Amino acid sequence: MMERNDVAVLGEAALKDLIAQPPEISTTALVRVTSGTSGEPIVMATGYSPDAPEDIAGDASVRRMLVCIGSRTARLSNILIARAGPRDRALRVLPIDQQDVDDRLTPLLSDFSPEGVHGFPAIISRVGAHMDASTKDGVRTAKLTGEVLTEERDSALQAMYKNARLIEIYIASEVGGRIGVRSCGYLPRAHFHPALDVEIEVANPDAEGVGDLLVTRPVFRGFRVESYRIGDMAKLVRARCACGAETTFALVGRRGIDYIKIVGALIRREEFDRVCATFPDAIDDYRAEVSEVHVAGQSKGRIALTLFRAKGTPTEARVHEIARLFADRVFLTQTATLAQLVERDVFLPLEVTYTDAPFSVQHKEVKLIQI
Amino acid sequence: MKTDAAALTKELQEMLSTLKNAPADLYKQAWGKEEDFSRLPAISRSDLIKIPLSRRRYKDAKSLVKIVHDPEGSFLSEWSFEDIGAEEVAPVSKRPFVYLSDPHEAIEKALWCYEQGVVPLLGEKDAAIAGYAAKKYQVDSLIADPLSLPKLSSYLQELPSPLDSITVVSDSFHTIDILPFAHCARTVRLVLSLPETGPIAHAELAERPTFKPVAGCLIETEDTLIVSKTAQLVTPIVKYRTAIPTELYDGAQ
Repeated sequence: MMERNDVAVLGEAALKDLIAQPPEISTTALVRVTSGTSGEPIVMATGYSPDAPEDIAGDASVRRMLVCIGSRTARLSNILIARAGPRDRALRVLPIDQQDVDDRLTPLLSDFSPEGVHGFPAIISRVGAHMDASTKDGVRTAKLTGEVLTEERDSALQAMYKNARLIEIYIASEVGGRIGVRSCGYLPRAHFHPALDVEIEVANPDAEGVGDLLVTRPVFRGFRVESYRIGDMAKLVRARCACGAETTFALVGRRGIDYIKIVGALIRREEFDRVCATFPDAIDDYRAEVSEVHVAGQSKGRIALTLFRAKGTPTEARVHEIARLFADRVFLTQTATLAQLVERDVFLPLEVTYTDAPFSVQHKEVKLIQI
Repeated sequence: MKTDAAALTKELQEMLSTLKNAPADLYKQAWGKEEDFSRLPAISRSDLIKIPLSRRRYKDAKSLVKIVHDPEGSFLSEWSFEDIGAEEVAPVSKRPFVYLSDPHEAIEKALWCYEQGVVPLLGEKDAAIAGYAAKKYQVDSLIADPLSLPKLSSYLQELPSPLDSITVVSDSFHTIDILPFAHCARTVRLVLSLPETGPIAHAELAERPTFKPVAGCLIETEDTLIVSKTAQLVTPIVKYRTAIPTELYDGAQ
């Protein structure tokens, strides 16, 4: 099983190979910088086929596409794929930077009239807020990547881009791109077929079949990641897809971000999103800190929930009530709520505080934090 | 491509009828019945801000669309990949490093490198990480701008040997701020450029550099530079009045 450090070593070797022997066709290689485990960046070479293996826009009739991805290199990689597409297809790509996302964008997007959008759901959502209705209605394909698509975000994007077919692409920059694709039309959200040349396994599955996702795929020339533990949790779906694909996997989330395993319970961001949505007047946003603490020699789970309400902090009595109701509603295992796990002495009582300031959002919304 | 003014003028004159008869009407509207290149009225950035891209798209090609921000307004500038590659940006090296403040220009210049057949390193915003990556990739040239160049100061000062070239791309230069980097490369070039025109002129770094037009570019001087290019760009550049003062072209301040 390869870990992040092994990928860093492989990436460095691939980069040396690129330096020693530049490719005959430049657009088959890309120099990427990604984050390492120790905080030191990994600089690596990744490869592309000169013939784009899958259509960049997700729809061959799309002529104008927005790319809404945080890093410049990732935007560049998508433009290179567009460039490699059929010669007779005049696909135009407009990459959007964070600095562009304000009211100046509205007439520009109306001028460009995108037919496809591709990128991080959070950025696509922010860009959509600066599109007029007719521009949004002109979007036929939304290709979402870079973060787990929550039910809440899925519904919001579908409402925002009414005429768009949503496609999910599961990628990892440190292995050079695509791992899974949901475009066949038969899969539910967060379910994927492996991308071209990708093999997947799930290691150490729990009772629900959820375990570490392992990825095998080429990175650059002869350099491959083999059974690389990518850091995401997934489970295999044991049924042939109606599209004919043999392998399907369901992505549960990022270990430690969307999905935290602690004291035998599963803290899932999606479940927290669901429960927060049951308090529409009291919760506009949240962050949850999850930790394992030792009390009298016993390990216990602790969840500290920080809530934000645009209309101001509720009364102390109401905050207590929210804490009680939240613990009653949120499931941390298939059958047990937090309140029940508190009763069983597995978790400490839920801590709830309110903040006056909205939470800052970077490229990705990280709502669960393991400390 | 030519640099001789008479030959360029002749070539531009020959382009006029094609532009006037195209479905896009930017120039049709601007020029009216005028057919003599020397008497054509100039267009400017304010025209690009006012007129949508669909009315100034003179060819269909796979392309990059950039956003250009200006205090007067923002606009789109579309460039086919082939046209990006044909621009005279920098000396070609094996491992170029593109580190520019403007993200749209950065991506475009990285694409320019690809079009020259080389794999660039495209620096992200963080200068420390960009410098670290540049060391790892053993870059041999740099394309920067006057704002981004000083951010790489510590990386450049620690170089074991000078880069082959540094190209500084901008619409204005304070050479006093660039001269301290002269020893960091065997050649330091200044490229006078606008996002919507591409490179216009270039010069070797000096206290008072002498700019020469890039190939295929005719530069006329009034109070500011008026630029025409013979390249068949998505939005061709013909009698384009820039805001670049003529004094700069004669020698950077």
